[in-house]
Amino acid sequence: MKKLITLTLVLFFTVIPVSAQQFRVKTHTLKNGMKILVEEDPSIPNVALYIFYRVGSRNERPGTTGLSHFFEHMMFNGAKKYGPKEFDRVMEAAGGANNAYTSEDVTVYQDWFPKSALELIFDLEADRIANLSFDPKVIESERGVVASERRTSVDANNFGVLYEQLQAAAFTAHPYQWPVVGWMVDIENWKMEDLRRHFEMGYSPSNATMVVSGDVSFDEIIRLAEKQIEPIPAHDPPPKVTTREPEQLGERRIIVNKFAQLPLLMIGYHVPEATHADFYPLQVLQTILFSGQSSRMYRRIVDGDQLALAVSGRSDISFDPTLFVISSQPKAGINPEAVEKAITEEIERLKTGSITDEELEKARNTLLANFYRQMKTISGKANTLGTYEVFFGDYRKLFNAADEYRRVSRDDVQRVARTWFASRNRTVATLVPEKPAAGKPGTQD
Amino acid sequence: MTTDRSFAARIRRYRLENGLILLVLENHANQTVSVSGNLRGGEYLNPPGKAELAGITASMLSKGTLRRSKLEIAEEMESSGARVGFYSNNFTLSISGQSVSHDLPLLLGTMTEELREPAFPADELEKLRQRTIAGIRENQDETGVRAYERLSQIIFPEGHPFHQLTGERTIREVEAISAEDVRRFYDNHYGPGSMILSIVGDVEAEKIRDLVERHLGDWRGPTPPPVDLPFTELQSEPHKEWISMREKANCDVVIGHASRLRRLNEDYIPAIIANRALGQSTISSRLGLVLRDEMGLTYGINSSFSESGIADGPFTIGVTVAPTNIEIAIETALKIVDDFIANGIRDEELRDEQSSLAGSFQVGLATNGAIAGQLTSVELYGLGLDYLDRYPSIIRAVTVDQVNAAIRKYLHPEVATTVIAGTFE
Repeated sequence: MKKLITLTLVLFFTVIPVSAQQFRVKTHTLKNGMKILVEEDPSIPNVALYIFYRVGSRNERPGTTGLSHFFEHMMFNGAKKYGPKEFDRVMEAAGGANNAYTSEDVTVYQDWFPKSALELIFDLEADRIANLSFDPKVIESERGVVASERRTSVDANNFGVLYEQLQAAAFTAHPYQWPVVGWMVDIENWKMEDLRRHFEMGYSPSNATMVVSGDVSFDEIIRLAEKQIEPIPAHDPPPKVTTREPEQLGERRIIVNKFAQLPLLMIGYHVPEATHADFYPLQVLQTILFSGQSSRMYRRIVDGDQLALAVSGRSDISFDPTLFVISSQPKAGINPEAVEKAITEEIERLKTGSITDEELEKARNTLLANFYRQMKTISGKANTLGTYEVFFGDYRKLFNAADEYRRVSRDDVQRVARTWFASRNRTVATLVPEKPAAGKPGTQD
Repeated sequence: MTTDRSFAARIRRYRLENGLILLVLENHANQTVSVSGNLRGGEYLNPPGKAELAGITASMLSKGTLRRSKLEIAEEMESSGARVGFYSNNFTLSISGQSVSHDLPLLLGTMTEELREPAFPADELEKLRQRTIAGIRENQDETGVRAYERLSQIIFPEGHPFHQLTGERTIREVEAISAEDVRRFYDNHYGPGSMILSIVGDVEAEKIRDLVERHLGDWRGPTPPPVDLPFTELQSEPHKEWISMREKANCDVVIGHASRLRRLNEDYIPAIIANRALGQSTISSRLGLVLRDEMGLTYGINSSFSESGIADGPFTIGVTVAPTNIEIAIETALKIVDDFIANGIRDEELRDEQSSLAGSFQVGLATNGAIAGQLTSVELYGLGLDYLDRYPSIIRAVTVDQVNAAIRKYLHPEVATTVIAGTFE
């Protein structure tokens, strides 16, 4: 087994090196401050264009939670040249597709399109950055859409409800305490002036990074950007988020009572931000514990003791210290406390027990394979380059990732486990099902 | 017309002696490879009283072989970052896999071992059964699932692959599935005679042919006959039902009827274009532009000819709304459909949808996995190796008259069934 693993590792490093030479990334910063990364990949006649704005729910305040996410919606609702409903219609008619996502830290707009649509896409993007429309009628309509999204993704979703409550309990000071989609009462009460202020705060070209990957030339991208984007004036970036979550002084426990078929368990440990030295060891820890059917948690909790239907654990790349969230769905008839006990025992075993060479190498290989899988497609490359540029401060750190994973030692993994996975640093959230008082849901004509 | 870069010129098609069809496309853009495939082993073959048997059999392939435990297999595959998976749908057992190209022998070796030598251990079946039942119970808590389940019962007769049993009945039948049932299903249906395997990536076609021959060339097994289902009759009158559930913030409304549309109907592409204009995209189709953008009633509204493939599935419109907006959402959606039938698609709307469909097809072929999936589909429906080359021109040749004829033929809101699931005051 070990021979095979070693051989595979060698193949990864010799066959698919992630290097600056291989990816031919060129950069340019416009006069208004927008940085542009271009990765020329002519293998297929398509293009992926991502724009990362460094604005997310961490830049909001109580009373206006969810505004960043709302703006993600508004960016599709019309500007000066392309009016309401035109952005998607025009892009799709050109064979393109788009999406967007908002997180605690960033708002990202993603366009995928045939090479032939390149000029049009720049025209569309420039129009909405420079001239977004604030039509009160459209805003009211979109408010209803976002409220519906919240009802579906959070209020009607047991996982969504419990996660929201976990965050609210784990963070007392930092803005990561509120949901990205926003509290319903805030969604219902934003004012036009809140929206304008938020747009002006977050959507300066100087607060954005554009990443283009695909069948393009660096020169044509810069020519288009200088023509379409550079004239858009810069303004002040969002105020620096200075709040740091104070050290947690003891375990927190919350219960959510809600109608559900099965209980749910979530445990959140405070862990550091992406640029912290413990980032890569935590990734390896996560993989040893949670990645695949051969991971420690799956083997113990799902397969061995058969306490739960599923168990997972992860933390997101973030600007500020975040949560490592472990989620598990106990089986029918199993007390969530039994699952929690097994999870805790596995964490303790990781801190003090042995980690075999095979286990460590498998974790590194898994991480590398996932990493290379992302870098196979133009959209994966655009997203990964942008993520490294925005969260790690320099896209070139991407090319060190393989070495960073390789450098993580057994001692590193056990050190970060002891540092961050302590009981006083965790919040335990349990969804306890409420059953119907009488009868079952019925059907009526 | 094909060129050297056309798909037709680049695809290698082989037929092994045992009937297995192998399609290989060399793509040396990066050093990875994807595998897609299927064989006739889907849910339509379930014997009466054995709901989910095909799906459970497919999942059990990954639970250990006569030679190795599932853990030993998982250790080896996860260590190399390779993946192989099996799942069933209504008509086929589907196979998918991916790895770096150097690991293709490992991927194909594991896939073959799981496909040809499954152990079907009883303890793994029990774990899978529990997970399946828990999944059904969780699903039963979803308004969208409950609404569609009921709609399918009204449109399709019991025993039809698209007729979904109630959650409770499915659970009872899953509880009764034995290891012998799984083994019998496997013995009766799995074999190479109906199998299609597509391999796309950094490979050499002739070497792949030899590799597949070594792994699967001597496999023998049954070949289920091609699917032969009658078209489902359209309902004769409209119908409405309410499903009352607890503590649901949103309601799901599903409006639908039998579509009588199959993949090989000659007007399939015009019908698909019609649906794109009407409701495929929440963001840019007619239904979404009004109910989402103008009225702010919903985060999502879609229409689709779901399941239109080997057999004719339903035409459905699905929308999620607050309980107070149910009636206005239904009324508005049906008004939009009526207008679409009465006045048809607009010239510029057709042009936009044609460009969009052709463009998204091109953008969608960006990965080896996507191309492999398309090759398998083209072979399954017998569309010809040049179909991927011809597809954009087929789309562009569609006329307004063809789309309008498809709209009138396939959309029948006057006899649609409406099911609403949620919490009602």
